[in-house]
Amino acid sequence: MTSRMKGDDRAALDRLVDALLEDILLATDNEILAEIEEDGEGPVLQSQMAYSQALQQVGKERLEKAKAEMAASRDRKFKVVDLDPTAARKRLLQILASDPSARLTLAARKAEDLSDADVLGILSDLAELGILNENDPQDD
Amino acid sequence: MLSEKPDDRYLAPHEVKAALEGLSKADHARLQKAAAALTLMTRIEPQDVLQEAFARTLSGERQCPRNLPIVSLLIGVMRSIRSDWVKAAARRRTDISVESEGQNEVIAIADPDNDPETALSVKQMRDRLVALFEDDIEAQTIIEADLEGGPNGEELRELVGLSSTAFNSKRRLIRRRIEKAFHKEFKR
Repeated sequence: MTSRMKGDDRAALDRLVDALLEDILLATDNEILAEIEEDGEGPVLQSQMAYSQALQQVGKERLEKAKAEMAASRDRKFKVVDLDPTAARKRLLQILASDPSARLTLAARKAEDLSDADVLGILSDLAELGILNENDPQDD
Repeated sequence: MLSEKPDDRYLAPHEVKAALEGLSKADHARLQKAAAALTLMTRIEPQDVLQEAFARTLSGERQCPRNLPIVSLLIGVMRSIRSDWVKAAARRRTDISVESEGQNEVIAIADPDNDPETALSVKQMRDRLVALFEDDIEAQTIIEADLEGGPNGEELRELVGLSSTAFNSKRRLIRRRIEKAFHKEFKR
């Protein structure tokens, strides 16, 4: 159990910390190097280690984000590929009718002239572009 | 698709990384000292706050203005992290009512292992710090002025009666003695 540090106490500590930081920033490189000479390289090595660990941390976070994005993209594609050719063609015609945006080509508007593979390909592309909402009904 | 135009006021990610890779030995020591100062009398490890500051800067969570030295930026980021962690811990605390000498008193409880703040009052802090400078009345006066929010800068220097050079040396002595007393990495 501990008691809460009061606002006044925190402000007092902050003022002291500010004074210490000011002195650290005012010290020249030579003065800091003289302190390293006196204390040893420990502080330098600790900061360098903190940087190495931060590099690993950020790299890991980026990798996890990329993996999550790939998984989301794969999920969208599976939803399209799982459609049978008749349902896929019907779905594409529904999209063309409801969202005749400039991003859709004239060729795609004539869905009846397309092969089954073309229809699935276009749906996959629309899913990638975010035009095909995965929550849209697919079988109505 | 619209391409995002980079903001010239801030360093690009590759420039941030180059600046961090280029930190000198003195810069790294300065950062560790700043981390130690910022975590003084808390349960936060200097290493943790410094690593998080590097990570936030590397990831782009904190942008680096071109006109700000990277060491100053990192110290600012550490200050902000410390404040975030202390506030987060305060939200996790629970107020409970206890009876003390026939009166109800509300106190806050926290998990002492995870609470970044110590339970030190300003008086306890002052006592511990002043004890470090039993042999130095000028240093004691400066520390008391800092803790009490008394005069600072020129006003404090005049009050203590030191020249500018002697006052700066006294500030340096105070910082060095606190570093050695509270942080093992500054003891050889």
